[in-house]
Amino acid sequence: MSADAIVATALSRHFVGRRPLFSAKPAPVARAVDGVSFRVPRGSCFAIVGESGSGKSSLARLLVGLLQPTAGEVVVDGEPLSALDATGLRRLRRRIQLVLQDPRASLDPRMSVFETLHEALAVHGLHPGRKARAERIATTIGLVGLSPAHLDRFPHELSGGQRQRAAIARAIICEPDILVLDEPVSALDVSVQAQIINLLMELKQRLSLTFVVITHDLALVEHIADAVGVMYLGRFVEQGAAENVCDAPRHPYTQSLMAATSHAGATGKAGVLEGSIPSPLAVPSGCSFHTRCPAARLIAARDPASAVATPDGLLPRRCVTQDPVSQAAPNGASTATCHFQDELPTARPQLQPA
Amino acid sequence: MSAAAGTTNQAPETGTAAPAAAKQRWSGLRRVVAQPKGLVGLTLVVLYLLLAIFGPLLAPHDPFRQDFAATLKAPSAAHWFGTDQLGRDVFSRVLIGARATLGVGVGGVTFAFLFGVPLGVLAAWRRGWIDALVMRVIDVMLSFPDIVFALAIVAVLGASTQNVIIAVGVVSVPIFARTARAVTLSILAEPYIEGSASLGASPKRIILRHVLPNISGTLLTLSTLLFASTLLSASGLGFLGLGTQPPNPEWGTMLGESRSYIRSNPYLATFPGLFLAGSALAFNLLGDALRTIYDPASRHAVRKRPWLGALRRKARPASRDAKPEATTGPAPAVSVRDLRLAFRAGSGLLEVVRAVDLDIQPGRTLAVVGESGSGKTTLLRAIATLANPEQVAVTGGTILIGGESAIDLTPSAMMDLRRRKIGVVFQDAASALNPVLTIGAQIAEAVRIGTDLDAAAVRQRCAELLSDVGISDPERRLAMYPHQFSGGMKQRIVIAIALAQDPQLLLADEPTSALDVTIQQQILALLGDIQRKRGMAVLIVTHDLNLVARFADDVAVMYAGAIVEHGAVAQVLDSPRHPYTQALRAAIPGGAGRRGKPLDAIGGEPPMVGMLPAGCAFRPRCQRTHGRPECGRAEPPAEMVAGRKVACFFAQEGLS
Repeated sequence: MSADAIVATALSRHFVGRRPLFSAKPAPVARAVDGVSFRVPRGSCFAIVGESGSGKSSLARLLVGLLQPTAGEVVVDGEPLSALDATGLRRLRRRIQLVLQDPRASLDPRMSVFETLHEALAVHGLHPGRKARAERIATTIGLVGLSPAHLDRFPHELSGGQRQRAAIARAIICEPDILVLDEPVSALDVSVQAQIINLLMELKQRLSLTFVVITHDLALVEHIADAVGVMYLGRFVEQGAAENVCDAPRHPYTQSLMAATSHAGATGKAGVLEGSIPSPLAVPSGCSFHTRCPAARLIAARDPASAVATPDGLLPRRCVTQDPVSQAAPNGASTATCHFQDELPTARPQLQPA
Repeated sequence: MSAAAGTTNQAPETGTAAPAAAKQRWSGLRRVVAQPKGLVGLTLVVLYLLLAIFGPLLAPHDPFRQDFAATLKAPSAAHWFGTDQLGRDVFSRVLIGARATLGVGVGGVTFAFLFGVPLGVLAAWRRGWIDALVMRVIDVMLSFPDIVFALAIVAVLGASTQNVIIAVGVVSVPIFARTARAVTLSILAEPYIEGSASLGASPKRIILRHVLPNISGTLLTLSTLLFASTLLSASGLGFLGLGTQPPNPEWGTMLGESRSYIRSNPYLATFPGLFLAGSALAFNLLGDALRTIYDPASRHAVRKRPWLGALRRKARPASRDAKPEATTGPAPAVSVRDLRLAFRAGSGLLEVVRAVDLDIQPGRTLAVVGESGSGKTTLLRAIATLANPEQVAVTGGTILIGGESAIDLTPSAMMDLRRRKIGVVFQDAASALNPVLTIGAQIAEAVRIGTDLDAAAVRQRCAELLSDVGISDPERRLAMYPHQFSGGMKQRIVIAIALAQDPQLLLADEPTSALDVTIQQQILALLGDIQRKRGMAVLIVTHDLNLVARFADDVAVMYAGAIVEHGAVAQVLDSPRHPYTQALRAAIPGGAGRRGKPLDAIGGEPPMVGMLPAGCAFRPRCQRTHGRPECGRAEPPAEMVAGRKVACFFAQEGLS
């Protein structure tokens, strides 16, 4: 067993559209995931942060083998996914489970909680025998804080929190090593979110699980993640230890995200990013963030000599033409993909005054 | 109307926790019988099936015995339906013919089901060339008229009951295949399918355990509807002499035989014809009732007792708004006093908003914070005069908007009030805009109501509105369609529509929760700008405390339909005094000091609408009550504590 639960190397997934008939134009390519590398040590929690359209959900599906990569490699527990056939992949899925955002939609409406959990055991032929399975189901339901009375209920008869608990029970009943959690609490009520976060943290400890959390909620990341990758248009613009990325973000995009989530006092306009994320079908040249980057505009205004005029305003030439490379922070705990990261203030955006 | 959206009337989310004993499998039947057409259809279908089973036992005469002494007799006591050209008893023949007739229908539908459904599911599952091949073949089959296609098949195979079943079955295969493919595709897109796949379930298991049970409702409905047309096709073939061969009775064949006597002895055709039409009607009614249940689009359309709601509204005293308030300062843009709202449920009224008081002065922003089921959205809809009176009853209190009552209005007075004073922005901008109209047309519609501007002035005003909400190049954008805009831009357009009539009050229901974080900030900054420029009052409903901290002046925290803490944002969020507000603050992750430590979660879940505990509604989850009897005895009144209103007997205790 290797020390890393998941290793992703230069992972890419491109979706190729249909070439328009009677046109010489090449088929459009959406670069959903584009050259992403990271490793998740066993027992740690890795968070993938991004807006919708950043490719974070595609990345999650690559990790569990629901999507095949266009290039690159995912190694789970020392086993490369590409080397596995359909049966091998299904066997591997016992060890790496996906928990989806909306438990209302992710549980089959026609199956009771018992049937749902029983199916998970039946699929992998675990705990054969009626009695053994019923026992395993009873244990698991207790682990997630539900009572045996909930087993006969159908998803629509459960509250939002109970449904997410049932979905978590389904994921852990086969004793997996890794949970991939896609927005695990964003569909839940605020007071219930904390319960589910606590439950997940407790299960991670008790069952020695490795977590990959996909979310847009940086407050959640700060709370539960050990390491984080910030995704923008299919690439990690910043990745590293969670406290470094959250407390001292180096990439302007991460800085904007942090400003947007923290309890800033009055309506802090400083943190407002202009525009919206471009389509992955037309990724901007150079640094893909240049169309929205507030820092690039400031730098261009300071040094107009090395700036070019673009439809998005005056921007440094390097940002528009050159792909930035990933550079490590001085303390080595995080890397960011920005030409000017060393010139930006890295202090965490202002928190609400006490 | 200046309300920008809200075409969907959410059904109140009540009674989701039906007793576990009421299992799903019988609920379908109950819902069929609950509809008049379902009850009639089901009864008739059962009668027809009984007829098919027991018909031969009931026949008073031998249906094959010819009696040339009594041919073509009119109905009489001995021969209820008369006799035919060979002197056979028509009544007995009709009874015995039921089995053959319905048998052909059942056989044909079964045949079509067994071939069509697997084909459709296969096409949806495998996609690619299999899908293309199956669908093209089916398109070709569908391009022939049904009866001609069936005729051709029988002509090739030869006339017999069995071949008629095959013929009418083959004709229906494409319909089953297409439907099965469409519903399978939509089920395959459901997250729980992905959930099972990631669990490691095999394709076979996914199809058998997840897809088939979930498409069965639609396919059952389709079978019932197709049964009627199959029956008619089969009888058509029988009429042409290609079906069941004489002397065996079958209603279509009988109709065919009676053709020569249609002028002299019309009753000969009447009885088999009536039975045939009746059976088609029965299955159609049943299918229609099933469709109402399984078609999600029509599911919420069945609403009971609108007239009862109208009566109740009339019955209440009309002069409730004549209560002058001793106000100081400018009149509030909206003033709500002791408002009580209830859902009309099958079992009576479920109170959802309980004695809410609130005022918003012009230029101020009030945020109503609460979890799902707290009644915050219902409150907003009531203030927006958008609450559907068939679903929500005002059981007490007043709503004054700019001094005018918003309750007990006639529909036209309500529309007028809404148009002049209220703008509404809903959560889901994507569904608030009509996809087939340009946004110019949609904004113009909102601008034009109640004014007589000419076309150029309307266009001018639309362009102004668009630039007000920060959309550049408005002239060109007016000609674009909603799908050409991103989510954030659509929300801006919805806001522009809400502003079209210069409302004094802007109501926003979770205006940013469907948007990405960076876009949320843009929309909030925009709303703040607009509000400052226009001096509007804004009521925003949200569950996001960060948003409240950034955007609102005042905050009202709702729990189980009542406001538990209400005051200035700085006071309420920085030093909450109600245990629920304190718990909400503590439950939110964030802050470097708490990384990795358990959050202070609130135990339990918010109570269900209409199922409140006695006394203080928050008592079962409260950290402060410590079982003190006061909390269980009565609902705590809202009192001024430390500069804000708090509804807790022990608000003085424990500053957070």
